[in-house]
Amino acid sequence: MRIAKVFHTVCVGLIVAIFACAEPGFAANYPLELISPRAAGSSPTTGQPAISGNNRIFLAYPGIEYNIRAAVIGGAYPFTFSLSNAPSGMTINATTGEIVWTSPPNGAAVTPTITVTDTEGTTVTASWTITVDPNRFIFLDAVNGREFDVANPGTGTLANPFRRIRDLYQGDVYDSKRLNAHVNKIAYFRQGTYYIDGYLEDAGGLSLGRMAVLDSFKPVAWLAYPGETPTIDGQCFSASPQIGARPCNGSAHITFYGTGDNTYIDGFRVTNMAYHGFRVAGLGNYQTFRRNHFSRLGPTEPSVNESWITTSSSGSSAMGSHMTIQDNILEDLDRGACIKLYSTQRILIEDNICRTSYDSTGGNDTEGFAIKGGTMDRVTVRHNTIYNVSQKGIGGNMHTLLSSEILFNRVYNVNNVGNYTSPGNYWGAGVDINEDGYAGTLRIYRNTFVCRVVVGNTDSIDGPFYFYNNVIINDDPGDHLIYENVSDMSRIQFTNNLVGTPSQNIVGTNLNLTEAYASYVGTRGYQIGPATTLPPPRNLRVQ
Amino acid sequence: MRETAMRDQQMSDNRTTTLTTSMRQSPRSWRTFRRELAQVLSSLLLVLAVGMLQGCGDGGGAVDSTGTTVVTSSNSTTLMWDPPVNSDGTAVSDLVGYNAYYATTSPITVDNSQILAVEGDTTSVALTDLPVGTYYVAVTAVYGGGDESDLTAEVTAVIQ
Repeated sequence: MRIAKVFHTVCVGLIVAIFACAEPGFAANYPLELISPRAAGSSPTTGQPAISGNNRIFLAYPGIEYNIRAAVIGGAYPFTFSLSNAPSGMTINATTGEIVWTSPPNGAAVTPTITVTDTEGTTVTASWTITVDPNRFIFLDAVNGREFDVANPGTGTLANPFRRIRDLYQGDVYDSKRLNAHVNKIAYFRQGTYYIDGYLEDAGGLSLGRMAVLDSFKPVAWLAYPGETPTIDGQCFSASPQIGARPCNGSAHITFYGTGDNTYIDGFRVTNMAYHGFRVAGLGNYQTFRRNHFSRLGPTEPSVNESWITTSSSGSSAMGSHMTIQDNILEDLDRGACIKLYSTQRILIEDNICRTSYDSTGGNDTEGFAIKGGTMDRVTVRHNTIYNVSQKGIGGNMHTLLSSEILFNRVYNVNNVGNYTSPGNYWGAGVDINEDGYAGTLRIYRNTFVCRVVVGNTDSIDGPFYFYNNVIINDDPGDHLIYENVSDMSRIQFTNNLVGTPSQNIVGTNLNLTEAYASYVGTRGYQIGPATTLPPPRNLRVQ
Repeated sequence: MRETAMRDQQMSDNRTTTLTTSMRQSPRSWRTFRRELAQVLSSLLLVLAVGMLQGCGDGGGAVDSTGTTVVTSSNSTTLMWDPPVNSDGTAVSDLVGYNAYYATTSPITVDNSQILAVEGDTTSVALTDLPVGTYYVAVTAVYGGGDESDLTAEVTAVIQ
């Protein structure tokens, strides 16, 4: 017993020591930046786009819960949050930065201050003003609302809400696309199912088309009414003529463009979409997707950037800024990615679940988070959970991806974990750093990967790529990374990772380190502290 | 240790004695005894059956399962479970779904198994197109942010 214990300790020590160089620690790689909330007209960094006063964070409706979440990049994670000068009834979650104001009084204008502190003690503060103004909101109620163009129409108020997205859109023909309808207002959706029944364009293939929502003409902040979960359903079917007299050949999606600034989608169930759930302009600033549950996308077609959330490439070096994607569940995709991004910078992808991404045709056109390029910078992929993905968990052909961080994520159950067969076979990589173009510095740390990790198509102008303090479990040889077409190994720095094979039982359920490896909690892998026990299901039975 | 074992033996002997005494009572009492015995046995069987179905959990964080081996010839099997509850029996919050794990080796780990993600409030899932063989299955609850509970105890399904 004692010999076994000593042997085990030596083995563990070896696993870490073999790949240990200088301990990089967890110092901030980039300055701590508070994307949101912050004052209207300000930006986290000099020279970056400022947040517009039309953003959802600056408005509240009397008596309806105001709920936002702070978005932070850079600094040393995890963070703590606090509020000062908050009005009565406003609180902040010290761990997540979620801010709740339960019952804003009519006519109020308040200016709280948020402070975020990182683990190095660095702090950033910002104040923002929230105006409680019922005139900046419209309401939709799929059950009790009324259409805008019927006798005794709905007017979009809380007492007399609209019924359909078509009402928010003010029509379903081409001319309604650029009709000024409730621009810069915030739309609350009550419980019920909403079909994509504004004007649809670009129908073809497997898609009924897309409904374009231009931020200069329509509301782009869509919120679920607190405590309710409205559904946006892209399906077209004959039994429900909501879509109108259009070819009923599939599903639709929604695209926010113009600039796409201030797009804010919060709290929806989104289902039965084609090509995308939401596509937003890569040039847009301060866009937010939060607390949505995306389920059932496709089957769709390859090469249309199929994904639940995507940004369109600007086709130039211009980039949008400060998109935030937090607390979403993105699942059940047939040929697509949970998130696919082009042409945006300082984006935060945090606390999302991406799962069940597959290809029903037997191909490999599936991904979790596809960070593409078209010039991107400071992408932060933090504390997400990705599993059941048949091709790549985090990756993509990264055309001109500049300095970015991938940290504290869990990736597991990606196909072919232990079945690397030949050069060029990238399928089944949990993480695929494939620099098909110029790449800047990537820092990949404190993740737990139970999957293959690949670095490919990299030369002396790329990187460096820092892999440190991760837990990496797979059957691949050596340091458990696969190198494909890497012409300059000095550009890959691999330090202080805990690596091993599945048979070594390094991680257990939830990808927490097992008891034998508990001494690495807090220094290797995604775990910040000791595992907490959550209640499991009961009475499992089979038949 | 020895003293305890002896006390247990004495208690067992006492119970035997009581039972023997009852059997020597009058015919009417004997019928009553048989009826009571039947009721007791019936109750015991019921408790056992319920226990097998519900497991031995205390309703709060316990891992319970029948552990039953089910044989099926349809290349599929269906898993069913009840939602988790807190230690005080109240419903959990922030539950976003379940993961059903299945593997051909036991014990199930995240490394050796396949996973079916199950959405929201759904508490069953069918495993289909399974080749002939023995499958070990277990389920976790998935909470916001992707955190999972421990696995339930494994249940075995045999596809013939």
